Amino acid sequence: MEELVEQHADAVYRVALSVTRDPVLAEDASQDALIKAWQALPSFRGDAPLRHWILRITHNVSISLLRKRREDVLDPLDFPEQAATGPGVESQVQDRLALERFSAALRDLDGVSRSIVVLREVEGLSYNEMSDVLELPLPTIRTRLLRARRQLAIALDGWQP
Amino acid sequence: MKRPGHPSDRKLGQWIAGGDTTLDRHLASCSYCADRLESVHGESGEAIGEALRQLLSVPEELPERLRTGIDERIANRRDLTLIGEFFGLPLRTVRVFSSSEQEDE
Repeated sequence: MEELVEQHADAVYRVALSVTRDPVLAEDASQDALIKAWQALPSFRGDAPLRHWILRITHNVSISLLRKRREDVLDPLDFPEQAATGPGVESQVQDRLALERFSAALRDLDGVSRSIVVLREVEGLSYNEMSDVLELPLPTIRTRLLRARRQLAIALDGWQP
Repeated sequence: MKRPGHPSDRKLGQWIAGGDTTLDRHLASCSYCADRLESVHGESGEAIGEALRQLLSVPEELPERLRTGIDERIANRRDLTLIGEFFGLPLRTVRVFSSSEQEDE
């Protein structure tokens, strides 16, 4: 278990947060997913990398947890606020505005599209790997990723880190 | 690089930036152009990745918090299983208690 947490906590948390959009729920989902993975480890066949298998569990657990909690939550939480980066005040404001637009655009995506973008742009998975993790056909992955990237790029409006 | 019947790199770039929406249908079904978009994607891809990393930042103390939470959950489940065994409850019943206990957390 120690090893699972050490090696996969960050990726698991990011995928959980991309689905739930709530840091507290994301931590709950991360714990659930890691426990499930740990318990199911003996049945892991090894025909895909362990990381992908754990991310698939995380995605499914997060969706399931979100469904259970949705009845209690009237309005889903926004992504956690981030401090603006950059040297000057003006650049900080620009960064802040760009990230706010980006956050809103990300919030407007459906959960699967958010996961696809995170798996691709942050975790660096290939199309085939995403198809395997999310158990979706390649054309669906491709179309959703294209649409999501486009919406997010429009929101960033030329912003560069 | 462009084949006849497919949009140019410039048009793909415009599409990514929110311009030409007439390409939507073509891009949804053309794997050749989807592959080309990967190379055109370049700079905006880096910006999207960086924005995502900032937005989905992982708390520094996350691994420790996860370890603590996981240990507590495993201990709770163990306790429930012991109680179930003591009262002779079927495993399925204990699992129901265990799962509702998690939901209540």
